[in-house]
Amino acid sequence: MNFSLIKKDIILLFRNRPALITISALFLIEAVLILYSRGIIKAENGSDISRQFNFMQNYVLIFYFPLVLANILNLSFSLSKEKGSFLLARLIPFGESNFLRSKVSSTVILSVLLSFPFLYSGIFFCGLESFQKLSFLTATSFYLLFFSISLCTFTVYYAVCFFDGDSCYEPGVKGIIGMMFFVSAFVLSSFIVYSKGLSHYYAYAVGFRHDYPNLEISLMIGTGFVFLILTRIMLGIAEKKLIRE
Amino acid sequence: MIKIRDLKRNFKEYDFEINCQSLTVDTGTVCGICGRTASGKTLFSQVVSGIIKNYSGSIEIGMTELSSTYRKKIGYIPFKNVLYNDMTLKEMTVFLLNQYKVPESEFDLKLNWFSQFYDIKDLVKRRISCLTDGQLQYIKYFVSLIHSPSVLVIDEPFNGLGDESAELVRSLFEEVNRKGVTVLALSSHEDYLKKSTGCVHYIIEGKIE
Repeated sequence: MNFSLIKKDIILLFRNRPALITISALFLIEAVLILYSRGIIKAENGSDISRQFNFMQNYVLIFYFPLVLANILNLSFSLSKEKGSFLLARLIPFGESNFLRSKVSSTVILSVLLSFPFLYSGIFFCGLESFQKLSFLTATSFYLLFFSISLCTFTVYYAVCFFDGDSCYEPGVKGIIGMMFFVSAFVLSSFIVYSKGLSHYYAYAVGFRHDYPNLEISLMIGTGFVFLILTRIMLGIAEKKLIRE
Repeated sequence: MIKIRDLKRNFKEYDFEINCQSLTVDTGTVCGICGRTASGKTLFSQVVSGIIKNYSGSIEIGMTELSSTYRKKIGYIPFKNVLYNDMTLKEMTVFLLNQYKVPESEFDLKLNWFSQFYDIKDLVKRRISCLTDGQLQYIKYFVSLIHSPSVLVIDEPFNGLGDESAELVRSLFEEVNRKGVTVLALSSHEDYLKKSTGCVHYIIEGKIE
C-alpha cells in the first residue's frame, strides 16, 4: 500500500472547505441521530427484541448514507483534481495502477470512518443487547466492510471509464444518471442480502432456532466477497484503460 | 541520448499523424523543435515521453527502448499544469520524491541547486494555486528535475516567461547538460529556441523535418 499516495488523496479531499463542512455536518447528524434513538429506547425502558431488530435495520439503512456520500466526495473533490486523465500518474513508474488504487483506499478509509462508528455506537450506546454478540458483529463487520470496499471500487471504476478524463472527470447527464442507478442498485441489493441475514439471526435470537445460523451468515459474507471480487476485476479494467490510453 | 527512428503515430480522433523519420539528440545536449500552433508539438512530446503509446518505429532513451519502467529516467514538463493546486510546493515535491523512490533529503539539495537560477525558497510553503504563471513555469522545471532524469522533454518551455527569462532558461539548460541530461524542447517561439538550444528542427503538420 502506497501511504504517500493515500496521504495525497486525503490532503486533496480535506483542503476543500465544502468537503470539510459536509464531513463535519455528517458527524453531527450521526451523533444527533444516535442520541435521539437512545432517548427513545431508554424511554421505552428496555425495548423488546423485535423493536431492537427494527432499530438495527434502520441503523443499517442509515449506514449506507455516509458510505455513498464518501464516494460522492471522492469523485467531486479528489478524482476531479487528476488533470488530463491522470497525466501525472503516467510519468511515474506504475503510476496509473497506484494512483487509482489509492483513490479507492482513501475513499474506503473515509467511508469506514464515517459509517462504522455510527453503526457500532448505535448497537452499544443505545443498548441493542441482542446484537452485542461477537460472532454476529464479526459477520456484520465483514459483510459491510466487503460491501464498502466494493462500492468505493465500483465508483472509481465507473468514473474512470464513463466520465470525461480530459475535463477533470466531470460527469455528463448520462454519467450521473448511470452512476445513480448503479449505486442505488448496489445499495439496495446489499441491504436486501443483509436483511435476509438479519431475519435468520432474528429466528435464532427469539429462540425459534437453537443453533446460530452459520450457513446463512457464511452465505452473507460470501455474497459480500463476491461483490468484492467483481469490483476488483472492474478496477483492473479501469487500470488497463488508463494504461492503454 | 534520444534516438528516434521511423516513428509514426496516427491520431484518428484528430485526423492527424505524427511522423519522424530520424532524430538523434546526443547525451548532454539540447535540441529544439519549433512549430506553429496545432503542428503536433504536444502530441510528439507525449509520444517521446512514453505518455502516448501504440506507435510504430522506435524510440530509444540511452540505449534502452522506451518502456513504462523507464519513466524514472524521463522528466516531462507539459504545457498544462498537472500539479495539484491544493498542495503546497513542498508537499507536491516530497510526494513526487516518494513516488520515484528518491530519499526526501534530496529536497533541500535540489532546492538549493535550483535557487541559483530562480529563487523558489519563498514559494515552498505556498500552494500551487497561489503561484503566478511565471512562477509556475519555474516550479514545473524544478519538479520535473527532482528525480534526476537523464532526459528532459519540455512542451513550451517559455510559456508564461518574459523576454529576459530565455537567458535564464538557457543557463538552466547548460547546467543540466553538464550533469548529462539530454533536453528536448518544443516551442512555437523560434527566436527563444535558437537562443537556448544547440540545434532546431521544425515540425510541420506532425512531420519532423
